[in-house]
Amino acid sequence: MLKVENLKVNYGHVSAVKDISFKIDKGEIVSILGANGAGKTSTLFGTMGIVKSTSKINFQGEDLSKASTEEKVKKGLVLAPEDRRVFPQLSVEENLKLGSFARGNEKENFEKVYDLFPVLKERKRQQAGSLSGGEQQMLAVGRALMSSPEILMLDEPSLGLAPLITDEIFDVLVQLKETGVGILLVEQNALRSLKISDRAYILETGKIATEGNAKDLLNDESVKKAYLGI
Amino acid sequence: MAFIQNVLLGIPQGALYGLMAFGIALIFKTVFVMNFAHGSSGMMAAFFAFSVYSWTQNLFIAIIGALIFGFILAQLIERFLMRPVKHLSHAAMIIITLGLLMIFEGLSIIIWGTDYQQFPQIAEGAPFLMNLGDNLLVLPLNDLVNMVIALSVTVALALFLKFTKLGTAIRARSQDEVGASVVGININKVDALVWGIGISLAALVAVLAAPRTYVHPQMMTNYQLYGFTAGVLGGFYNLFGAIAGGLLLGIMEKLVGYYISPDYQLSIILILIIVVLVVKPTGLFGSKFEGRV
Repeated sequence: MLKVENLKVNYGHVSAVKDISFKIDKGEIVSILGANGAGKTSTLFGTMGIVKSTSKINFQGEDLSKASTEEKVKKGLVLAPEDRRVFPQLSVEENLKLGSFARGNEKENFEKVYDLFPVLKERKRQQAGSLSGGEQQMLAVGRALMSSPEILMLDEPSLGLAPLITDEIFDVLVQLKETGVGILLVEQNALRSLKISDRAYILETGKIATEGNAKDLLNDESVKKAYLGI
Repeated sequence: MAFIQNVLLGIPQGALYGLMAFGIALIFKTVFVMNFAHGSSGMMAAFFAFSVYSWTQNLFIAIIGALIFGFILAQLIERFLMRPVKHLSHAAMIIITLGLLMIFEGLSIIIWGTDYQQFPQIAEGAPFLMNLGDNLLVLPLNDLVNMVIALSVTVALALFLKFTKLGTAIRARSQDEVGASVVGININKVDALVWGIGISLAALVAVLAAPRTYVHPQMMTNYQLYGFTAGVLGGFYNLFGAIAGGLLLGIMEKLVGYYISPDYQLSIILILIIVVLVVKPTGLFGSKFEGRV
């Protein structure tokens, strides 16, 4: 469904992503794993066009290589960025509302998101900045869901969260996958994300070092050593 | 009684300072640029209004023309001066506004000259009088009209920012740029709109102030300073604070002028900036801002 080819991201003279290609299909969870500085976030930012990048992007048969970030959002490519990036001085409700700024049925999605994360409904009048880290992460995922994503990209959704809350968010991802959403998951927590993934790419200094079936990678000795710490 | 009279006279003046501060603070909050060319942009718009008025003899058209002029000027500034350097450095953007300040002053001298040009009041008529016991309070009619215009524009903008989709998008962009782009807000368009609103406010202040200041290249210098001070006083991160700061400043200006000396008005205002920055850098109404940096 989403096919990104020859993605390159440069910051001045430093190239963060060096010519990588990947794809995500409908109803599939794909992980991008890698150490700090491997270029995972840059890959997502480059794909969305938040940082300058060159690539060939094909989404559902349509060429989006030259499309702007908001055009991509309108087509259903949605990113829940690293560090949550919620709007701290807006209420939870306003944050969610902005999720359907460019796309998505506000009313229906409100119900869906409140169903998935009941705690957000309880706190809908509260300022987002006053939520706990876990709640903010739920809000960030909820905000992304408000735009009815076709492809949902998540950057470190488990960062700094208690295992129980991480479970909750990962459960939601699996539920979403079943409704046909393609999910691109960037994670430090490699073991955990491989377990729910269908396929995975491993990035090393801006290049794809390994790619394959998630189950195979889980059993691969070198991957185990380098990324899973088993 | 003189005290109340001065407070009363200070409020309309303060409303204009507040409007000035509102525009400066809105731009600062959203694009993080302290706009030093705010007043001189307003001055250009006032000259434009003066030309339109000389030609049409219609004050209403002249004022609307000034607002549109301000909006278009802001689009040019945003598109060709701010956007190219946006992701490079904020210092560059601020220096550009300083350059613009000088360019606008020079340009206005070339186009319109250095004469003090008269500009008509919106409301001519008998001042508004209030009987308070044995005393009579006076408020010039035009001051009253200015105050009503300034305060209703402020309220309208506050409602726009609070309750409309676009207004919420502006607030979102001011709090998190990446967050705003991933929900599909076009950052450049929001920035252009904010510049437009901000400079149009400066244009409005300029045409409302023009009957008293006359139209000339330095007519807005004091307003720029007072606008900054009102912003510092109220806290730049708080738009309500900007208006409140402006009102407070207008009242203080009149009181200083009456009880101390008009010569000290500006110095005392400037001392005030320093004192507030030292004692409470977030401003009187400012809270700690969490959105940016």
